[in-house]
Amino acid sequence: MKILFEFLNTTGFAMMTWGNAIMIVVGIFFVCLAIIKDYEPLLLLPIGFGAVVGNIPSIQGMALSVYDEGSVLSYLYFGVSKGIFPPLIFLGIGAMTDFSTMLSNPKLVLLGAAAQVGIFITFVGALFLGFNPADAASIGIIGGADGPTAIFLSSKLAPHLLGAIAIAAYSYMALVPVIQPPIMKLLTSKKERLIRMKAPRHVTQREKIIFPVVAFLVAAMIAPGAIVLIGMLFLGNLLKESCVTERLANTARNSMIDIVTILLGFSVGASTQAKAFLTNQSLLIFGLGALSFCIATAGGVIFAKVMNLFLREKINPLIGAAGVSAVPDSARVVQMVGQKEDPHNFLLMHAMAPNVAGVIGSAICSGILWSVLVK
Amino acid sequence: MIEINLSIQNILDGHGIEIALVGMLVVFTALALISAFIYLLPSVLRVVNLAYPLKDLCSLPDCSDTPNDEVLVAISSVLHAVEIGK
Repeated sequence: MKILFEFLNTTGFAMMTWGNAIMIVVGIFFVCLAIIKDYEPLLLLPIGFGAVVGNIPSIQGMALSVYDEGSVLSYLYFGVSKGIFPPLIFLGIGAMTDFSTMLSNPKLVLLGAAAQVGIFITFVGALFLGFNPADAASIGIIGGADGPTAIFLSSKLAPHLLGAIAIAAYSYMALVPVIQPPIMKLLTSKKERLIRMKAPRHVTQREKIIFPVVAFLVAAMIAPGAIVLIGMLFLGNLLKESCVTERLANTARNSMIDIVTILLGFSVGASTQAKAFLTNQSLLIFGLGALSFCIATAGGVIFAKVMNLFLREKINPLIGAAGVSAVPDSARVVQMVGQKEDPHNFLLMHAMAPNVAGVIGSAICSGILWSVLVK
Repeated sequence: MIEINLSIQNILDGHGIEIALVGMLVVFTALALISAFIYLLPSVLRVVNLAYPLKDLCSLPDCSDTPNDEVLVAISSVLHAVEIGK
């Protein structure tokens, strides 16, 4: 009988705290969002289930959670905490990205730079709220709307905030169709939303092959801190465009990215233990992350309007919102908002240019912040 | 209860404004250089094509023209059907 009572005291029911219960509900909510609403299911489902797993109270003396040395989950989390998974995800993204629209309209690359304003304004805002510079930079990078980049930078600068930052980054990426349209409509007139853009020119295979090599050299020379992310992104793209490594490109963009996404999502979710996650700081991070995302969207749209002051062939300012690098969701949102005004206006292709430029831009930002703030 | 310590001094101590301005400048510079390179690339390639004509590269299979497995299966099944029809 004594053994039975001792066993009952080690069950999850006996050791459950309110915090764990709340986080389990949050995890189930993420799973529901993924399944019912189809919001970023590839990410939210593993993250949500990971949150459920990570919040089952563990028995003292048993290495179970991601924070227990030697536990299986801690080995899975190693790829997150040491920043290994994000570059592998970038390799896959590179292998599935077609830079043709960007190559056919190079001025749109600048929109990808403008949208990074959210990162730096939020960085200043987080400093104002009392965070130290390394923490503030990791929070600001949420505005890049790029989960792997946010995880990479916070694993280097603020590992103690990694769980909250990863969840905030992926949540806002999932909420792109909810957050961006009101800002886009607020900052543009109906006339601007109706602007049609010229069809992109044909891009030769030779251009596609040369681009990743030279773009890597330019970005890496300017921001060496970004070589891992940018290097893997352009390696993946070169595998795709060279046409001689089709097998490798296929593996990178299918099997490998899927495996890494499962491991990353699950272990990030499992790291959201209530005692580490339910803190005042996490709430501030969520607030600042939302602000960062909104400023980034507004920055892209406003910069597109400024560019129109100097351009003969106007660009539709809606595509500026795609400068945040949530690929391809923000480009899809641009298409959706544009088609509400004019069902025959197809902005998706044009929006992909600032969208992929935003991926490069946010990786460069992480490199800059890392190199400036590394101790 | 969230404790917030609002502090302009923290921004100054953390060189917040300088980092933000330099950061934006560097991102714009990097992407502007990439943009300029993309803009110039077709002109450069026109010169390169004189030295290394495009036909040299044509030995590379063009991804878009390479039939995938499904297409090959469809073609072979049609050929097979034609063969049986004979």
